[in-house]
Amino acid sequence: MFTYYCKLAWRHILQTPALSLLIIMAIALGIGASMTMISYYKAMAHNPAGDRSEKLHAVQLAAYGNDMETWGMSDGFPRQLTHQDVKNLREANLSFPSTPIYQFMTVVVSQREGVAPSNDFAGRFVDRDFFSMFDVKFLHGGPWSQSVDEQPENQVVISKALSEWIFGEVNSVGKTFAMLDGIMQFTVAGVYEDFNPQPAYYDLTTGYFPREGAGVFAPYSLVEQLETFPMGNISGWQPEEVNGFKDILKSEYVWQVFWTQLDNEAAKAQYKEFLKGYVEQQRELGRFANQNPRGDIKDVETWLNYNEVISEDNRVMVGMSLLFLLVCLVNAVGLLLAKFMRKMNEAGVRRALGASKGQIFSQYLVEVGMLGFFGGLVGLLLASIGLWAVRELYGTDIARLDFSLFIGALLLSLLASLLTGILPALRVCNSNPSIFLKAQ
Amino acid sequence: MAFGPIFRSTLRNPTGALLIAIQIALTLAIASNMFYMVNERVEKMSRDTGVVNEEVIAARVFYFGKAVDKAAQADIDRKTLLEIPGVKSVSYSNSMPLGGNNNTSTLCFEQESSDDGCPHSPSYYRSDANFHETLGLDLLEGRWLDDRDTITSDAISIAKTRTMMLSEVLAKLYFPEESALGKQLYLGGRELTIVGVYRQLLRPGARATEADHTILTAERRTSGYLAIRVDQDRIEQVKEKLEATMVGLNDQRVITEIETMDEMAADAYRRDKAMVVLLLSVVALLLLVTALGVAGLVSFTVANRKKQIGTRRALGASKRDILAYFISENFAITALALIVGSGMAYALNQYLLQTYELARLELVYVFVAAASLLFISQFATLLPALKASKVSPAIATRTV
Amino acid sequence: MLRMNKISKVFSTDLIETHALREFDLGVAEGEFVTVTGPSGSGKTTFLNIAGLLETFNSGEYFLDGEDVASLNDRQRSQLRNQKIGFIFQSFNLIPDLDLFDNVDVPLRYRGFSAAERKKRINYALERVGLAARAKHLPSQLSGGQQQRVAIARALAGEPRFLLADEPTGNLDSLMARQVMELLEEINSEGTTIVMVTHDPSLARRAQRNIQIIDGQVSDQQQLAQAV
Repeated sequence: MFTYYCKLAWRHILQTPALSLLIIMAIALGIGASMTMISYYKAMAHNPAGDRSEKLHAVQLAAYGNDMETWGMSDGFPRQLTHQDVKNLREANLSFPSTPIYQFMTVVVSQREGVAPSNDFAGRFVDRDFFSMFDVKFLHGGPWSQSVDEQPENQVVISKALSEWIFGEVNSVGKTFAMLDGIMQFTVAGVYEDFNPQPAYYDLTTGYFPREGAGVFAPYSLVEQLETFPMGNISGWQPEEVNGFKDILKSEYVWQVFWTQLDNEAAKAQYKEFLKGYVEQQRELGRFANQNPRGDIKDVETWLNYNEVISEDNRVMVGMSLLFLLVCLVNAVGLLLAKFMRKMNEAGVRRALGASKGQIFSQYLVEVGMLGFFGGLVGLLLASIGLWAVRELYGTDIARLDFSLFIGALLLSLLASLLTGILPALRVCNSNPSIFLKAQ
Repeated sequence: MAFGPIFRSTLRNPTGALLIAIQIALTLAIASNMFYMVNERVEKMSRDTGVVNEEVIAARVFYFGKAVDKAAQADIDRKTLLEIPGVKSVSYSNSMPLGGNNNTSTLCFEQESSDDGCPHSPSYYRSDANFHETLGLDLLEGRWLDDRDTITSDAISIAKTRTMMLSEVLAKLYFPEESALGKQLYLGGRELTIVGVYRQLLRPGARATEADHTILTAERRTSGYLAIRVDQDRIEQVKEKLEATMVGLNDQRVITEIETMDEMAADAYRRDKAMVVLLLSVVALLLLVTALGVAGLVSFTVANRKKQIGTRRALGASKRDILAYFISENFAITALALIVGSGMAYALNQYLLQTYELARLELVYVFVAAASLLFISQFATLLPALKASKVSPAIATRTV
Repeated sequence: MLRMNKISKVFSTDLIETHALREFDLGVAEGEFVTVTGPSGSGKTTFLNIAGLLETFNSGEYFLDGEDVASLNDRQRSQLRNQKIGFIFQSFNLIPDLDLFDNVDVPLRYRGFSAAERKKRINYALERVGLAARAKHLPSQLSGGQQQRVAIARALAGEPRFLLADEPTGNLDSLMARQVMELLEEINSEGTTIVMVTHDPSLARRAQRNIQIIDGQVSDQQQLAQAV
């Protein structure tokens, strides 16, 4: 019977092309607009950490004096850490993989003919564990050795793009190049496949959706001797005089993030206990002089929500586009009624010839479903145009249609159209057939 | 034509009218809130920077390599750039309005910081004494900062100057009753005397609120932002040559982000512009869909009432009467829907208000949206109503 | 075949109640050809709609082929209508977008026959009314008489035992009307029970029995010929 209904539906769509097209377009516009915004939202809500999401934890400390509860985020923690705390956490030597991170600006000198030095490639200081914790894929070589985390050496890990920019080739392991001030020499320990997870969850302090990922990773152990200022957010809760890099290391300014990998509940409990002890110890040294000195760890999912990676604008647009879909569907109800009213007589004949109400209802619902399906297909086309516009407008590369969205759009339009079709189809099947059978 | 019979006829078969009404009410609720959001963004994007936008170029200067005498280099830069035809003024600053590198600090009445004593956190500029001239700021009170105020400092944290200027808005906030001139305030724990008040200078970045809370301090600067004021008709030429000129003078530096103020604004307001474009597209589609929906439903009603129309015609109704009949019917439905819709608009706004930090909807936006909807709805009715008026009276006598 | 006892049907609006049928009694035997006449508004059509299970009634009993239809739900009634009843209308009510083949196909689809069975029946029914060659034509390409013959073919394809005709010749000229009438008589002679509503006294007299309905009641019955 289903194929019979499909055949009838298709025939009817062809008979009323203008009305059918309007209905398809109404559904398509609604689906197109809402899928555009939902896709963009979904891309922003993406958690690139995958199954490492529950293991990686950002560490926070309520490292401030006075009553500065309102200084940090909503829960009274600043997003970043002071250098003193990062240094202490790093040197605590717990058995968990961990890494501090901060971004620096650098000039890189190309070894290719006629290419001027550039500061387009940003760098980050990290520990060796960073690469395994954040799943950086190496093409050649690998991270610097464990000893470099303790005894600093001028070794770096660079992206494929940077390797090609400096050396004109991907494999540059063992070669040296000039960086930072354009004079200091660094040796390439490894080259990685360009690494730019979206959102850039490993360091959200320098933008959530950067177009370019980090070009170079340098050992954190070099920080004190290189005296490289951070390129990113620095904040403090009290005025402090900073005249040079050494001052900023000693200050209570927060400007770094610290991640640690805790694989199970026991590890988490252990780390929390450790933080508690650490806060106590620092308090005795005169720091953390507030009402509620404490530390906290947040896993990746929590961290992304906490940092409000999804912008308010985006949430509003998703809501607005869904309301728009609603208007489109109300519209489709009207058009469907008009379309089906013309078929009252035929429905009456079919009833007289033995079709039950259920059969008539199904027949028209199949037609609506078919319209919804076409609406969904056109809607997907519109959504891909919409997403192109969104990418252009926001200057980002995220938010593309993928298979799950493709299926989602079709299901949504099918569901939406069936909901829409219930009233008109009921109208047709419930009408008294005898009126329409009389001379017309 | 009396509305009574129209209503009775509509009430007898309300589905079509109801659908039109729902659609119009929803559209009003959505469109008025969207208009409002659009206007908020447009106002934000078109606010006064305080700068002579059309004459200013900015660039970022970043030194590397072996140590150079940056102060001497800055003097050479200035001298060389001023020789370029069209260049009127050159200045180094830590930041630019709508640009990057934002320094903010609490501004307090007393040295000890407290919530009451430090009501605002303005952005402060650390620029050389030419900055006001390069940007073309307007002086309201007191004097501009000059060599007397300018200090040489390597301080990263906070300027060590003794003097500062405030924006008019900020001066009024701290000293609503009297002139701010000569008064002292604490910026980052340091006491600074106010020597002047300028009309306006926007913050770096693209903050929506308190964007005109700014402070000027004078510092001998050598890197960061380079701002240049150029005759408007020379601006493109200067912009093109700038990188080569600067690197030619000293190749131990990188010149990036060479932009006019308009380009900086485009970058800073990118998200706002995106939101405006998206909102306006949805509003346009929404109105289009509503117009088509109304037209569709009215033609459906016309088709259903063909016989009734013919009968009316046969009984003496003129074409105008038929036209007026459908137009008035639509007017009544639309007007009712708009009343309900205004309520829904406020309800939606209330929700947005609570969920997101959106401002309260102003009545004028509901009016504008309602007026456009009334026009669109009536216009959409016109075509099918004209068709209805052409129904032949003879149709009544036929037993179709 | 059909037995109605004290059937009443009331149409009510806010203001008035209209009694379309009042304690209506009628029996039609298997194989009978009964015509129904009466002034307009007398309840003929209501009777036909109730007989054809298109409408329900307010009180009374109705047995169709021995089955009490009052207790049936819509699906069962539809099934019964589909299997036992054929309809023929004054305005033919062919589905304009479907060709003749597909029009005749409609009741068979709801019957759930296989494709082969349907095809066989459709071809047979169209041959029966002399229009097999035009199976692919649309109704609009046929004359009124031909259209009514297709409608009869459609009614016959499911081999119903009971045919309800509502002024089947009302829209036809006299020549065509006679042809259609002859076709109906032929069908009746093969054993199908027929109830036909008509205005035309000459047609009404051709049946075995004529019932006159006035004010929702049977006012007069005439036995015209011997049942077969």
